[in-house]
Amino acid sequence: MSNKYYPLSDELRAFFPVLSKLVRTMESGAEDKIYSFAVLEDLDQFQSHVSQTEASGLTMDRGIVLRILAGHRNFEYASNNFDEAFLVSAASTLRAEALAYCEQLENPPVYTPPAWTDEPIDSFAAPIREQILVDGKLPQADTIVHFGSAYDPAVSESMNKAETAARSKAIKESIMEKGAGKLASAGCMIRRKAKSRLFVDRTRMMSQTLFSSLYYIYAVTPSGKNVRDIIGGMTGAEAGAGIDDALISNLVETADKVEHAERIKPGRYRIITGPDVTGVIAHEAFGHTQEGDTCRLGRSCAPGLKKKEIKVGNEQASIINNAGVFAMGTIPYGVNGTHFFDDEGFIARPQVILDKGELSSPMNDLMSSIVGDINGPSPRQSNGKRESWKRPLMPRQTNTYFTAGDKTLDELAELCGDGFIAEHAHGGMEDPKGMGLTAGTEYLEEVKNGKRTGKLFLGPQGGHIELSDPVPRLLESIIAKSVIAEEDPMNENGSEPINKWGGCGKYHKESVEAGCGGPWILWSGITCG
Amino acid sequence: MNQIFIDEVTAALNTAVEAGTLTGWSLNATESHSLQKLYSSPDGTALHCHQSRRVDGDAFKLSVYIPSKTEGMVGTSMIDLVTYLPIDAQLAEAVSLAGCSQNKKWDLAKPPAAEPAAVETCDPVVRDHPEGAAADIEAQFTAAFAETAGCALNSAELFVNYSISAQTNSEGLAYETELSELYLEAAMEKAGQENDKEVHEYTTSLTVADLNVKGFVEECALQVATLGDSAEPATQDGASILIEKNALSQMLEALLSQLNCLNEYLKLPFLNIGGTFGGGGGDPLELSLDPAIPRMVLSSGYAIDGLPAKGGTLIENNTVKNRIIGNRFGQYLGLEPNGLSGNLVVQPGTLGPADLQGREYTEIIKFSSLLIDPQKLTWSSEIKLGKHVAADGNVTLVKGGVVSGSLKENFTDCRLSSTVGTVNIPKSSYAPPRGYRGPDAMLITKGVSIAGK
Repeated sequence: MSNKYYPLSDELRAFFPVLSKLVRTMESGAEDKIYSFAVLEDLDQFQSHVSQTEASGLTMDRGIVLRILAGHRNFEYASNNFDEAFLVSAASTLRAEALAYCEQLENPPVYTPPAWTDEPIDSFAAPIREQILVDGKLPQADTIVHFGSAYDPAVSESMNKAETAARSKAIKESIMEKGAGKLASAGCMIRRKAKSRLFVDRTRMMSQTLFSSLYYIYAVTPSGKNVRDIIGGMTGAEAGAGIDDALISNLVETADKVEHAERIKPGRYRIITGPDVTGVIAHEAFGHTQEGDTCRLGRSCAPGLKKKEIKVGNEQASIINNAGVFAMGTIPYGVNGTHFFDDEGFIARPQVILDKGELSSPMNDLMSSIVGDINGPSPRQSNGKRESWKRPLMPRQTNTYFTAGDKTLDELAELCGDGFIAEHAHGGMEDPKGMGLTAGTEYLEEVKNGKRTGKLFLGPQGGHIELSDPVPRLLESIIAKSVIAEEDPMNENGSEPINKWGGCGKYHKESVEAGCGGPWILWSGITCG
Repeated sequence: MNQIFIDEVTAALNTAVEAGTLTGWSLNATESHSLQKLYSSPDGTALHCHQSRRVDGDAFKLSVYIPSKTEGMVGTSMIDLVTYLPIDAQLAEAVSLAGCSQNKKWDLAKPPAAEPAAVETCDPVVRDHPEGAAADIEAQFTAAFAETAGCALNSAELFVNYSISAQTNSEGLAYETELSELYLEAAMEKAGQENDKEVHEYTTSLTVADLNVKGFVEECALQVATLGDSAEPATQDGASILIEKNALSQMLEALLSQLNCLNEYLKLPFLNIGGTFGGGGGDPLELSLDPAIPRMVLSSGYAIDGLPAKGGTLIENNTVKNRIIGNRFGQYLGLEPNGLSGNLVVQPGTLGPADLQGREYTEIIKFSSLLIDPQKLTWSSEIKLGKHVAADGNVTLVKGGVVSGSLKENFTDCRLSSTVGTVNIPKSSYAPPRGYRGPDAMLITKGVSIAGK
C-alpha cells in the first residue's frame, strides 16, 4: 500500500485570494475591536445504492461563511453566490453590524487568534505535523497549508464511479445468492465523499480535504427484520476491502438468526459492549455533557460536578475526544469524526474529557472557550462544527472513545458468566442536565457460563433493545475492558481504539459527522428493554 | 430564483432529449433564505443573542433518464447542479452516471388537465420581512416568559426560513411552491435552585400566528412546575401507558410506510387493502390523508411525484381501505397511481379524563429518543420524563428505564382522546416533514413493556 495525501484542486485553491480580501474587508483597521474569518466549504460526493432498484447520484454543494466575533456575539453571513462584488458587499454589511454592536458594549473582550508559532506543533498527530511543516519550517501567515487525508491511489475503485456502482451491485447480488430462501430483500450502498474546507483569517491560510468511503450493506428477512453492516473509513475504497464472502455469509446467517430470535425479558443484565455500542455510550455519557455550549448555558451537570470535585465513574471510566484519529486498532486510517482543523480553523488535538471518573474542562468552540462556564474560561479545542454552511456552529464531538484495558474478548466473556453481548449500535440519546443515558443495540448475543453461545435475542416486544441507566451508575459499573487489538496486545503501534462510522444530531437536529468507539467493555449491569 | 441558470439548463436538457441522449428529465430548483438566532440567558430571564446568521442559497436537483440497451429498462441518475461548473459537463456526468443504474421504465407525471387548487403554505411576513418576524417572535417570547413564575431560562433558538421551489419535467409539468417555516426552541428549569432536570422543548409552524409563542412558553412553564424528585419506573411486562400526540403521530407515520405500495415493490412488509391493523374493544382507528389543510407542512397541490395531490381514507375501523399508489411504483406493480398524499388525519376517540380515573398507567410526558422500526412496527425508548399514576390516583414522577412496544398490539383495545391537536414539523436533515391532525393522546393497554428497577 502506497498512500498519498488527497490534494486540493486548483479550482478550489483559486478561492484563497477572495477569502483573504473578504477577511480584510471585515476587519481591516478594526482588529482591536473584532476578529473575523472566511471559510469556503465544498462537498463532492458520489453514491450508488442497489436494492430492488438501482440509484446513482452526485451530491455537490459549496458555500462561503463570513464570520465576525464582536464581544461575546458571532455575526455570520453565508451564501453560495460566489460573485466577488456581492461577497465584498456582504462582508461590509456584516462589518457595519458588528461594529455597531461593539459600540454598545463597555470594554468588549477582543480575541487574538494564535499564529503558527503559537501552535504546539510537536504534540500534533503525525499526519497534521507533516503537512504543516515545509522543509521542517513553520509556514507564514500568507503560506497556503493544505491537509489531505491519506488514501491508496492504486485502488482504482476509489476514483471510478462505474466500478463503484458495479461493486455495489455485486455485493447486493452476493447477499441475495447466499441468502436464497432466507431473505426477502438485500441492498448495498457505497458513498465516496471528498469534503474540502478553505479557512482564512489574519494569521493563516489553510485547507483540508477529507476523503472518505462508506459501505452500508443490509439483509431483510421475510418478516422485515433488517440486519446491517456499516463499514467506513477516512480513506478510499480500501475501506471496503474486508467485504468478502465470509462477511456476507455472516450477515446472512445473522439475519436468519434474528428472524428466529427469542425476546429478552425486560430487566437488568450483565452486558459486554462492542466498540460500536461502547462508542455510543462514550458519546452520550460525558460526551454531550462536556460540550462547551451545554456547559456555559447552564444546561449540563458537568461544571457543577467538576466544581465540587465529584467523581462520576470508577478507575476504568476514561473517555477521550480526539479529531486527530488517523489509525485505530490495526486499521491504518480514521473514520468520519476525524479532521485536521475544525470549522473555526482550530487544529485537532486530543482531549481527555473524563479521566478515571474525574471531569476535565469542556470540549470548546471559540465562543465557549472565551465565555466559559461556572468554572471560568477554559482552553479552546477543535470542536467548533456545523452541519453545513447553511447551519449555525456549535461545540460538537469529533471522535469520542473509551480508553483500552488489558483483557481479550474471551476473557471478558469468562468474567461475564451469564449475560449478553451488545455489538451493533442502534441510536442513542443524552440528558446532560439529568445525567440520563440510552444507547440502542440491534440485538443481543447470549453469553452463558462464560462462553458466547451465538444465540441472538431481540427486545421484549420484538424490536431493538435500549440499554439505559443514569450515567454515574453506568460508569461505576465497568468491570473490565479489552485491549485495543488482540494482535498487538501491548499496542506497540501506538494506535487509538477502534472508532466506528457515525453521526450526531445534537438533541434532535444539526446533523454532523462523529466517530465513536473504544474497546469491548464488561458492565456489571445495565437496564435493557 | 436564478432564472437565467434554470433557462440555460432547461434548454440544454431539451436539446439532449431531441438528440435522443435523454428519454426524459425532471428538475427542482429552490431558492432559500434563512435567519438564524441562538440565545443564551446569563440572568435566567432575558434573551441574549450570541450567534446571529443570515443564509441565502440556491439549489438545483436534476434527475435524468437515458435509453437502455435492455428493452423495458431505463438508465437513471440524480445530481446536484451547481452554478460554478459548466452545464454541459455536468449533464455529461449525469448521463454517464445514469449508465450505471438500470431500472424498469416508467412514465413521468404529465401536466394535470386542471391546475390543482392552491394551498396556503407561506406567511408573507416571513417571506417579505424576516427580520421583523424574528423581532416580533422575540418580543412575544420575552413578554410571555416575563409572565411565568419560578422559571429560569437557559437558552433559546429561533429560525425564520423561507423557500420557493420550481418543479419542471420533460413532459411539460411545471409548478411552484412557496414554504415558510418557523422553529422556536427553549430550555428552562426551576429558578433559584440547583437542578438536575431541565425542560427542553420546541415548537414549529408555517406562520407567525400559528407559532403561538405565548402558548408554547406557558406549556414549558407548566412542565417546569411539575419537575421534582423522580423515581425509576418499575419493571412491568404488560404496562399501560398514555402517550401524547407527537409520539402518536410518529407511530402513525411509521405505519403509513406500510400503506405505501413502494414497500410491496421493495419486498418489505406492507398492508394490503382488506387487511386489518389493531382493533378490539377500544376506539377504532380511522386514518386518512389531507393535502389541503392550510398552513400545514404536508399540504400541497401536488404529490411528491408530480401527480395532483388527493386526500382520502386509508384505514377505516381498523381495516385498510386504500393505499398510497405513487406514480413510479404504481406503474411497476400494475396499479393505478392515485396521488394520495398530505397530512395525517385521525378521527378522535372517546377517551376523556374520567376514563383514566381508577386506572393504573404511566403517562410518558417525554421520550428520550423514540425510535420506531417502520418494518417491524416496534419501538423502544428511555423515559425522559413521565408520571406513574396508581389506581388510587397517587402520582409519582418517573425518569429513566426503558419502555418498548409493538404497534400492532398497541392499536388493539387502545383508547384515543376525544380532544384533537396538531403536529406540524417541517423537514430537517434527520426527518421528513410531519403533519398530523388528530387525537391529543392515546391510552395503550397492550403490547408494552417497561424495564426499570
